[in-house]
Amino acid sequence: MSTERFHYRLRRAGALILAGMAVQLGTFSWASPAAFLVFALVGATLVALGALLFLWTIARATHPPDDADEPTPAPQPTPGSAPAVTGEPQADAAPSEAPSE
Amino acid sequence: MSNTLQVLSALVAVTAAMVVIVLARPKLLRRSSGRAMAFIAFFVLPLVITYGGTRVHLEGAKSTQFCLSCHEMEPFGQSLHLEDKEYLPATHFQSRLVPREQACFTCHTEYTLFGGLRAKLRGLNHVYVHYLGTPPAPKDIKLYEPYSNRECMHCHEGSRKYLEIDPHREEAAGIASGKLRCMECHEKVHAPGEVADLPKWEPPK
Repeated sequence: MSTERFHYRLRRAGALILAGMAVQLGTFSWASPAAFLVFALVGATLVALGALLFLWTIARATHPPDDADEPTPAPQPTPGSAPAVTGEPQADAAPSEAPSE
Repeated sequence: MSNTLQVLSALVAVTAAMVVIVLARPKLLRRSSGRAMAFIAFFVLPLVITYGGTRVHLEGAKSTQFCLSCHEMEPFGQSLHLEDKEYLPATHFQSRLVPREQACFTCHTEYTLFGGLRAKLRGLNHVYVHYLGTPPAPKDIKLYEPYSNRECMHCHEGSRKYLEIDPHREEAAGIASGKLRCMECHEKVHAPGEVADLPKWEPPK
C-alpha cells in the first residue's frame, strides 16, 4: 500500500471515529429511546466502521510508511507512457519498503 | 452530570486529541510507541467509550423519565400522582417505597436471574412498536403475564408493616404459592382510561 493511500485511509478512519464519538456524546444528555437508537445505530456504527477501517489499513500496510510526512513525488511521464493521475491515491500502488526500524 | 459521564467525556477528549496528533504527525507511526498510541486511539479507546456509553444508556433506560418519554405511557405516569392512596403506584411513588427516579423499573422488572435482560428485550420490542408499528391505546396496554407476587414480596416479605396486617399472615401459604395473588385484593393499580379525571396529589408547599 502506498504511503498516500495509507494516510488517506487513516484520515478516513479518524474522521469516522471522531464523528461517531461526537454523536455518542450528544446522546448522553437525552433520556429517550430515540437517544439510544441514535447512539447504537449511528454513533456506535460510525465508531465500529472507523476502528475496522483502521485495523484493515494497518493490516494491509505490512511495513509502516518510512516516508511519512513526505509527499509522494509525482511520477515523471516518459515518452509513450500513460499520463500520471493526480488527486485520489492509487489502489495498486507499490507497497512501501522495509520498516525504518 | 454523573461521574461516569464525566469520565466518558474526558476519554472522548483524550481520544480525539490522540487521533488528531496521529493524523497530524504520521511520522509517529515509524516508532513502535507511535503505533501503539495509534492502536489505542483508533481502536481501544473508541471501543471502551462505546461500551461505557452503552452502559450509560442501559442505566438511563431504568429511569422514570425514560419510561414516560413515550406518550403511550403518559397516563401511567399520571397514576403516580393520584390523590387516592388505594392506588398502588401512587402510594409507592408518593411514600417513597420505590425510588422516584426509577419508579417504573423497580416494580416492572422480574426479580429473577434474567429478569433485567428480559425486560430490556421487551423494551426493544416496545421501541420497535413505538417507532415502526402501531402502538395500542394506553387503556389497551396489558402486562405480558399476570403480575407475580414475587415482585411484591421482593420488598414486602418479612417487613413489619406487611406482617402486622392480619390477612397477610392468615393467607401466607396462598400468597407464597401464588394461589392468592396480591392484585386480587390490591386491585387499584394503574387506571389509564380514567386517570386524567381523578384528583391528583401535590406535595404541600
